[in-house]
Amino acid sequence: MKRRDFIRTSVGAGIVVALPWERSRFALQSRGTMFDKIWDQHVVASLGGNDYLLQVDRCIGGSPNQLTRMLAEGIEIPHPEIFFNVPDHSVSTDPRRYTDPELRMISNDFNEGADDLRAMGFNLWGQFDPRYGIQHVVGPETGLSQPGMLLCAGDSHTCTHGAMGLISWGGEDTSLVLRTSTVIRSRPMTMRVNVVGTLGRGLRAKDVILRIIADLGTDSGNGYAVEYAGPVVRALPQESRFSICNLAVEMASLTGMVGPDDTTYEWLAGREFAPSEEYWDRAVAYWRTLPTDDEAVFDREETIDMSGVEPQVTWGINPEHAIGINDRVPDPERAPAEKRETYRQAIEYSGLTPGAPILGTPVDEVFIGSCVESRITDLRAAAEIVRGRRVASNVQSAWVVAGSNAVKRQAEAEGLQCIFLEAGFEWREWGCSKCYGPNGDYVAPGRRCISNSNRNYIGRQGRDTKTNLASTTTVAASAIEGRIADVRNYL
Amino acid sequence: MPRQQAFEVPDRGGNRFVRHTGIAAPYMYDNVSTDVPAPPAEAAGLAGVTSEADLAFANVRWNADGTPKDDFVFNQEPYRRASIMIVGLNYGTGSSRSTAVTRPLAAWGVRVYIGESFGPIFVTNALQYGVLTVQLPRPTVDRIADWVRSNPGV
Repeated sequence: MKRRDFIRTSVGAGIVVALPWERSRFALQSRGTMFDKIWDQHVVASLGGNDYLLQVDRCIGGSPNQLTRMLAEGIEIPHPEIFFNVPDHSVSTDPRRYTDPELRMISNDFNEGADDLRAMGFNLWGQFDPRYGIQHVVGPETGLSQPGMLLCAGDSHTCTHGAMGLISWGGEDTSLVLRTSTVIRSRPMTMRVNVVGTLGRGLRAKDVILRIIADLGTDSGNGYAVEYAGPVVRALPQESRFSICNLAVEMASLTGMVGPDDTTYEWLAGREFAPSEEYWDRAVAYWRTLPTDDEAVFDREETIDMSGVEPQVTWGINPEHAIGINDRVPDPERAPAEKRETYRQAIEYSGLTPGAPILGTPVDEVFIGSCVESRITDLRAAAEIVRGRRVASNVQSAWVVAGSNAVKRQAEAEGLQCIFLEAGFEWREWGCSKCYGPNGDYVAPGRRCISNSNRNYIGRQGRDTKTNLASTTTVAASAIEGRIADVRNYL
Repeated sequence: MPRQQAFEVPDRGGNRFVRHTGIAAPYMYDNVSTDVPAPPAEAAGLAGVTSEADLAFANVRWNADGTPKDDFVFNQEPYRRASIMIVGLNYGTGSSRSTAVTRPLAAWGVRVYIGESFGPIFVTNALQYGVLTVQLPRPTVDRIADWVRSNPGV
C-alpha cells in the first residue's frame, strides 16, 4: 500500500493527515530519550547547524483572525484539519456572558465567517461548543493531544500537553504552520528531572513542580526540553501530570514531558479524537516504543527528593520564590548576591516582612481555576476541603472556575458546585479567568490573591496585585481561614 | 498620564538590523516575565488605553493615579531616550506575547537588549520585529551596567 493510500484509509475522527502512530510503520525505530525519538520522527529536513524543519501534527490557536486574513490574501492552507481554534484567554467567565451584549462582544470575535472556516475543515470551538474550554484542558480532554505527536501553539502553556508523552511548545508563529504544516526550530538539549522520595500527606503535583522550580530556578530549563520522571511522577494520575508539565515553561524550558504509560492510555481511551477501537491496539503498540530507553543519555540530569517537603507557596514575584508552608519569608540581605536585587524588588512589591512566617498571611481574594489545576479531579479535591465549611469573612472574592465545559458539567452532575456555593464561593463559567486579565476577570488593585494558577509576576493578575501560588487544596484551605493555611489541618 | 510620542513599530520580518547606536538603560532584575513590559490593559488599570507606547511597563512605570513612578529607569534622565536595555537573567520569560517586544519598541524605540539570558519565546519574537538580543556572561553584563550607570546617556 502506498503511503498516501494508507493515510486515506486510516481516517479517524475526521483526521486526514497521518498521525505519528499511523506513520510509525514507515519510520525507523530510533533509540534514546523520548524527546529524541519523537523529534527524529518529525524531522522533514535538517537545515544546517542545529536547525530543523519539523512536521506539525496539531496546532491550537485562539482567535481565527489570522486564518481569515491569510485566506483573504489568497494563501492556501493545505491542512485545515490540524488547526484547532479555542478562544479561551479573551472570554469572560461571568455567567451573564451569554446574554450581556458587552460581555458577548468579548467572546464573540468568533462568529463572523466561522461557519465558512468550519466548512473548510478548521476546528473552531466557540463558547457555545460543548468542547469549549481552556486550550490546555480541552486538548487532552478531547483526545486531540496524543503520545508521540508534535503539537505547537501560540500560548506559552502549550507545554501542558507534554504530559501525554508528546513534544509541545507555545509561542509559535502559526503563519508558517498554516502555510506548510511545518515549523523551524533549533534542537534543544535534553534534561531529565527525577523526582524521588515519598510525597507527604496533602501534597499535590503542583507542590512537586513548585519545589522543582524553587530548587532549580526559573531559568534552569532555558535551552532544554525537560522530561519529568522518577517514581513520584510515575505514580501520579494523568490529570496531575498535566499540572507538572504546565509549569515547565516557568523554568524556561521549551517543553515538559512525561513518558506515556498505562495510566496515559487508559485516560485517553474512548475520547473523541483518540484512535478508534479498530486502530487502538496498533496505536498503543507504537506508543509503548516512545518512552526513554534505559541506556539513553541526557545532557543534564537533576534529582529532586520530595521526602519531608511541605506544601509549597510562593512569597515573591516569580515561581522560583516558593517555600514550605512553615518557612519564613526570606531576607534579601541574606540572599545569594546574584539574587539580592530581585529579592529586594520582590519584598517591596509583595509587602511581606523578611523573616515573618508565610503561614497566616491574610488574603483578600481566592482563585481556583486556570490550565494548571481546573480539571475534575482538582475540583473534587478542593470540594473535599471546603465541604461543610465557610469562606472567611475577610475574603472579598473567592472564585471557582472549571477548565472546560465538560469539567463544569461533570462537576455539576456530582453536585460539587453546591458544595462551593454553600461555602460562599462563586461558581463561574469556564475560561482562563483571573490567571490573566484581558477577559475582564482580574484581581482588584493592590489586593493579595492566593491562586492555584501558574504565574505570580508583577501585575500578572492585576494592578499592584500580590499573587501567592499554591496547590488547589492549599488555596481552598486558605479560603476557609482567610489566611495562607496549612492544608494538612483539613485532611 | 502623559501621552507618549509613539515610535514606529516595523511589520514582522520587515526590518533588517544593521547597526544601532543609542542610550542604554539598566534594568537589572532577574526573571522579568513578559507580564512586566506587556501587561493586559484592564489588569493594569488602564482600561480603554490601546496605545502600545503607553502600556509598556505600565505596572512599574505609572502610579495608580497616572503619574510616573520615579524609580522606574525610563522615567529618569537621561534614560527617557534610551533605546538599549541592559537586563539580567532570563529576561522576557513566561508568556508568549510579542507585545513584550513591540511595546518598549513603540514607547522608546528599544531595539537592543543585552542580558545574561532571555526567555526562549522572547528571543523568537524579538527576531521577528528586527530587535536584537545579545547574550553575554553575567560579569560582562554587570560591567556594562556599571559602566552605563557611571556614564549615563553616553
